[in-house]
Amino acid sequence: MKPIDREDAIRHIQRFANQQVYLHLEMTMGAYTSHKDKSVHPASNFAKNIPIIFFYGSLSDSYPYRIGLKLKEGWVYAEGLTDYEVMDDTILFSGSDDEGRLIAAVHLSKNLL
Amino acid sequence: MTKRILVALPHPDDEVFPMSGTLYKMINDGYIVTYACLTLGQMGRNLGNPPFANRVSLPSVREKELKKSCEIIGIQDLRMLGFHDKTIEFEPFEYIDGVFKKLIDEIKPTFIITYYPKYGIHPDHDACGASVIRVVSAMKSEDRPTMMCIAYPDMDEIGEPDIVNDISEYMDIKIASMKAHSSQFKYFEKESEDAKTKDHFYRRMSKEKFWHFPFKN
Repeated sequence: MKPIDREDAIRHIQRFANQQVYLHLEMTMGAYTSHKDKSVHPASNFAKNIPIIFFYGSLSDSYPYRIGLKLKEGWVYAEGLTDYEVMDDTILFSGSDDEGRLIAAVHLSKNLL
Repeated sequence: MTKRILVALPHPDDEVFPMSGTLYKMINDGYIVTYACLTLGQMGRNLGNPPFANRVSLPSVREKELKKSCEIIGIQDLRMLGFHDKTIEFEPFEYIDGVFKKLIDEIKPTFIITYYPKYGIHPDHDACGASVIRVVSAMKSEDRPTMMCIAYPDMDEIGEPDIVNDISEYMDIKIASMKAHSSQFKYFEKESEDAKTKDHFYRRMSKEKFWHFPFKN
């Protein structure tokens, strides 16, 4: 993973548009969050290998980046992305905190993840 | 000729805090207001306290609140444009700009009220304002409506507001328009009623500030 280059990333997002791709969408506050601090209400989620077709996708102007993928009948959205990695059939986005721990992830792949 | 105003904002309740007194006054002065409300604020976290809405019912709850607020302010022409909350910055420019261009061509407003791009605090605010500004920038300078932009600058990056309206005499209307958004107002209710914060809240709410936009040509 390397820091997101916005223009390059947007170009690659568009490579996955208008075809069925598998989405991994994740957000996590960490499994030990409320163990360390009882006042924190823990929450997390992920959805893996969800087939979608989006026709337009972009990143916000501002950092940490937000992503939006426009589907025919809906949206995929995530906030807090910092890094990315591009492969032939897959693009990975993630957001990490100051200590390098994952907070958010958005992956798109032409094959099962 | 009828004087018209286009209000272009992304969320139900955006029409309240920065401007409902000003809108009420301008409507009383004979203006016709078209309010283009982009979304139904369906991603809002406030669901009433105690909650009376859920993620599925929130859009219809907020639609009702929006209509009630418009009625209180006197807004004559509400257009709910059907965009989705939090996604305005991701809409293709040609699509969203086209929506605003069509509206501007139709109603030929004397004034447009929207957010000052980059100073709107919320990404939807900035993206809404940026789209309107792109459309108006493309007009001949003599045809451009007067922009009244809402901004929340940290420092003095964009100078002092060009218009400051003291709307103290319409405060009842403003508070009523806030209360119409009952799923959202709980947030402010304490501040508006608590003896310690009440004066400050009323002072803050009685000044409505707008900036013109510095077009390049």
